[in-house]
Amino acid sequence: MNEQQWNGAFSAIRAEASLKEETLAYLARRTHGYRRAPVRRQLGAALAACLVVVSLVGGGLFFTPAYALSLELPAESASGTDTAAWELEVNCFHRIVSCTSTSEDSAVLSDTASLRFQDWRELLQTLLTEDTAEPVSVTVISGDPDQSADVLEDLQTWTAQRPGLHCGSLTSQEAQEAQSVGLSCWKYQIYLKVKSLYPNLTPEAVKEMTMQELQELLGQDTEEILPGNGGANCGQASYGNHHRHGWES
Amino acid sequence: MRSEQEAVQAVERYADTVRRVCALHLKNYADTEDIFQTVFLKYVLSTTVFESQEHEKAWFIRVTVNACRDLLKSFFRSRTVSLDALPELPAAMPTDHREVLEAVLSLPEKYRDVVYLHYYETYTAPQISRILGKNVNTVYTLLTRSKQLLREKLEGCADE
Repeated sequence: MNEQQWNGAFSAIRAEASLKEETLAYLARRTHGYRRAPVRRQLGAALAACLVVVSLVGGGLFFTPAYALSLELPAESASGTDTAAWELEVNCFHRIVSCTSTSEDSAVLSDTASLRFQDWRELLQTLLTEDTAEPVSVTVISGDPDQSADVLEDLQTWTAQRPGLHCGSLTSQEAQEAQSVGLSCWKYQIYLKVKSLYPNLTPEAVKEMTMQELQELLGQDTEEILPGNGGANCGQASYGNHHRHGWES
Repeated sequence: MRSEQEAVQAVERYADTVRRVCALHLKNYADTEDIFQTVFLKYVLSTTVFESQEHEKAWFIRVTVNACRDLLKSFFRSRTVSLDALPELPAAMPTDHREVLEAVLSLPEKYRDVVYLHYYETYTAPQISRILGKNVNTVYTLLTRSKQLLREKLEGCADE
């Protein structure tokens, strides 16, 4: 066999004119005039994109804090009775994303790692047994007033059954201010109320004051500002000019 | 997506090549038409940036070979088309040319692509190995063996 034979054999095989014309018509039809990919490919790409977005958004939402809860409980320490405090970052599914101790005593919540992804309401239920007479303060730190209201409403349903519970809310800015001046969220809320009556009162002074002394400044009954002393102490009722702002994301 | 102009140019340049590769594997015009259109649709939708026309041509050959093999392996096709059907050859061909073509088409399928690419498209063994995704030594072996088979077939035709 020589080159001529090879060329002759295969050169006889040509694409028919009709085949080429029909193919070009087919291509124009399938691509809608070369404007877009066939529907099945589009749907596949769109579906894949949707799945990616849903995964990213869903996965992102689960790990993204939507609001925070500051928990404060009295705790025994070498210097007497102190307040143990934790900040729980919570996602939009009410699951704890992170738990940080904001005080020296963290004995009550010793295993903070296991708290992750637990519903905060279950945690609170564990802390608030029916027999407890110890006060527990819960401050909602949220950027969304409606979200604060929802969480406080959740808490309010418990206060009737659990007399030790006290709740309120702060903005994230207020929460940061509380931290910067060394006041717990709970005490900072009281400070904001007292400050409206005594503008010269400093956070440092409030820090050194007991609840009893603050009560005297307010000229109110202790039950108004101390948790767990009967009645519901939650949300706006507790502090009068209740500050309801939000957790800025 | 490639433009209409690119599609038209591609059809003009590579239609015959695609048609010939189809002829090596497929035995009826319906299958050829199906694969032919599929290959050019893949080209239009492909985002591959070709370095040269040679690169582009190699792409068409590889895609056509793979498309033909996929079709031949399909469950549906194996039960609806006779595997013994003879391929359709061009009507008007000199006798010696027809004998060569028939000899190539009678080879086991694994030899046909390497024979076509080497003897007609004049690709070297390393180039064929890249196009078909085969080991270059395998390509040399296939070429050597196919030469023997073709000689036997064509010498046998000459004797008749």
